[in-house]
Amino acid sequence: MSSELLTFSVPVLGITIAFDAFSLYGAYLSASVWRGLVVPIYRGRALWLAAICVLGASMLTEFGVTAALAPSYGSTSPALREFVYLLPLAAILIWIDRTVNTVIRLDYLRRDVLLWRRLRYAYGSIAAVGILIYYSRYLYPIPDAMTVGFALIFSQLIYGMLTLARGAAVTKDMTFKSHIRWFGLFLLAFIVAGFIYVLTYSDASYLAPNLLAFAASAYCLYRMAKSLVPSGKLSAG
Amino acid sequence: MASSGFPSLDKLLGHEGYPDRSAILAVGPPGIGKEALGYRFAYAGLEKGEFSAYATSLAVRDVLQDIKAFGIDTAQRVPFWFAPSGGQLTYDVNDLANVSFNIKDVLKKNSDRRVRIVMESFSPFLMLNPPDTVYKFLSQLIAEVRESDAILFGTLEEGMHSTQVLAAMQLLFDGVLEMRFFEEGLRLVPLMRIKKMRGAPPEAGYYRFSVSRNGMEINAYVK
Repeated sequence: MSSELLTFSVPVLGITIAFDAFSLYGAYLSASVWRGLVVPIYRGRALWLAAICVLGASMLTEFGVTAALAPSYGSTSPALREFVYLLPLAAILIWIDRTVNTVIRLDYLRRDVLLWRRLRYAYGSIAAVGILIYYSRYLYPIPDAMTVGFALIFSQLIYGMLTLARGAAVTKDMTFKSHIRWFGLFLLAFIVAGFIYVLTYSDASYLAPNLLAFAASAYCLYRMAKSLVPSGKLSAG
Repeated sequence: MASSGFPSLDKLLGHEGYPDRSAILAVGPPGIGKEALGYRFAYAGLEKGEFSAYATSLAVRDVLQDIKAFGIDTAQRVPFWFAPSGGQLTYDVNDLANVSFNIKDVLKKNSDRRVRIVMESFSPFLMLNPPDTVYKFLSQLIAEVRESDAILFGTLEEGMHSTQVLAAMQLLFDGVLEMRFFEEGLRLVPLMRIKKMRGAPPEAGYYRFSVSRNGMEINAYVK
């Protein structure tokens, strides 16, 4: 046990704490920006990011602590774990919609991005149905509910990621471009974490690679917070 | 001198506000409060019986909503609007020649009184037109403002343009207010400074500020 503690649990806890710090610092930076801004649309962006950073840190902590202290699968209720996973997922899906709307509103030519204005209700509906199907398997024996739910949710996440990538390519605002790029990378890490989770669902060792993907997404959240507004050190220039 | 609309900022500027016949630029990240400076400046003019014009790339309805959020009474007086919709004159950021013509026309028609012109952001101009075209347009506009009894107040989004463009834009104006977030250890602090102002010595000091419905609070920043 002591050897396992040194070679597995301690590094896992170390990664968890380090990337939790990134995510929580991102939340703090976003809250600072939120306090400093006065225009609602920009304040909203900062507040959303602060909330997602906190959710990201709690999700990472749940995975990290479970992986470190109870490596064998089944120590935590799967329903509880998936609720911890689905709550940020739902928040992220809404956040994507808010961000793409901001991208469109801040474009001086008011251009749509990948038909988002027309397809956003379909995006929301498909994702909501996906979440319901995915989670309902704990209540009703629906065949392939996990795969179907996962496919519906992640197809919408991928659509959101592509829309953000297009938005980043279209916008000429250099700060916003960098911010959206990090958002895209965050989504990529989140999607990879989801794939690992589903593909290795019954495998006892799934938590460690999942943890690394979540750690990467926590780092992306921190970089998003850093790129929320231009900032720098004081200079006399 | 023309009051900025914020007594605390007037005090910082030398008790009375912006210099006569000048062009002032507020630079800072989107949402930090540059727009509030523009709103207050325009409404301070209206309260004194001056002519205030407001140029925006948004609909007038949206801007009025924002103005109300800063505690400004829009029921009594409203500025003359240049806007894509809801304004007296249309405002198309793609058509610099028309914008220039309309503003010059307003200056000419109101030559008997002081005119305040607020241009919400020069960033769309720079994003949709080559920088040299924008510099030329602004140089001509600022020359016209200096010849009339007018003051031009404009904003520029920091982080949207290269440092060369930001520097070139600041050279064109008589006064530059810099607003931005500065890193102090692990903290981000919103600070402002008067980077330059015609008739005043260069100001090196930074000030902490906050803008709300109640006005603008400015305090000297001691690191």
